Amino acid sequence: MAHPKIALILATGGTGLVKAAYSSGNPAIGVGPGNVPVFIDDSADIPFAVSNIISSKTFDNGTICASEQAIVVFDSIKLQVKAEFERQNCYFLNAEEIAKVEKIAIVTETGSMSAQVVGQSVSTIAKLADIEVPEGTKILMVMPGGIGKEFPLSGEVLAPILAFYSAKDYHSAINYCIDLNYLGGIGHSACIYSNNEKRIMDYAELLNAGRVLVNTPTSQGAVGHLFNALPPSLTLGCGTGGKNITTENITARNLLNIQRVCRRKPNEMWFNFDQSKYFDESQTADDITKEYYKNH
Amino acid sequence: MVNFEYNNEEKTIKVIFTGRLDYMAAGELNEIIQSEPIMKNRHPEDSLIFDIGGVDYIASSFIRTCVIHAKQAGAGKFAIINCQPLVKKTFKISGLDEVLNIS
Repeated sequence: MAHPKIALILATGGTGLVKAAYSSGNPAIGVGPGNVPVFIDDSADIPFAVSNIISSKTFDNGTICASEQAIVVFDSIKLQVKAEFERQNCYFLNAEEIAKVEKIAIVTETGSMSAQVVGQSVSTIAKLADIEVPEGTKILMVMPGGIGKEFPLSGEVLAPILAFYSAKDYHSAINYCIDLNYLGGIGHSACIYSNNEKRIMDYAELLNAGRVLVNTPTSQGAVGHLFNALPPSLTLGCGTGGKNITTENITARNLLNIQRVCRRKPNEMWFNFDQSKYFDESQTADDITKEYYKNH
Repeated sequence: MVNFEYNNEEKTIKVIFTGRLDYMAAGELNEIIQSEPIMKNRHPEDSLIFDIGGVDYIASSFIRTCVIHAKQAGAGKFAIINCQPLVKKTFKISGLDEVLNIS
């Protein structure tokens, strides 16, 4: 990557790759990993939210870095959301099964996801973990019990494995989302399902995410164009929090050297403008603006 | 703005903060904490817990207060509990959330 003939490095991948690109001495645009929290609040349309999440998390078997990693709900709607996931063919693992999946999905030494599960189907993961799941299961749901290095499945896993948390109140729920956001996914993406505008805006303010998706599947939403006006891209900037240069969706425009031909164009209005009026307290801002634009 | 509770069984001092801990308030707090008899009589084995459930804003000077007391309390003997989201985010951005044992 340090070769002098390289014009620009576009690095999409893990933190190590991005750091290597930025350290190469060549111009680089690097984008980092995500750990996308999804907050379903009690004003949301639950069947709609669950259906969207499934369509997103199962897309390419969860390979997209913007795919949902954890669902956070209130205790008051936990059973309702859980039942909806089950109704739509998702399977909640028990503690023993979670331990088995942890073993094959996470590299113990590093705490990061194992390449052998990335983009794999539920049936393949179940075989690897030596667990039995119902035929047609779309997502393996896990309740890690906490967030952090000691709860390996609370981090990013690019596979149809989805963490599930419930919180006693609004503040606790948002705190869970903040913890998930800062567990390897700073600056990437976050999602909220809600019909409460104030909560949506509060959520956006509190999460460090380049993209906050509202009532939208995150895989298809964050990569742009299908559900919103974000530029279509699979290279999603995470900003300085993620040690990236931008929070933008990177497109061909970011790869261009843009040249500007700048012809001399003196601003003659300044010469015609009676500048003593700046110090005349009887003049309002509008008076000055009018004078400035006057056709002398 | 600040109250103190001592739990003799758990050997824990809980300092309960409320309100907006801006630069001015945090400065006053340092004096209040230092002059509080419970704090003056603190034993080395006592844990120190800052309960900031009633705090909706903190300035960087309050983070400094937390760091000083975490250092004085020693490893594993300091915690901050009941953070509101905006306050939690501030600690996260500072990168001190793990050191200060935030929950």
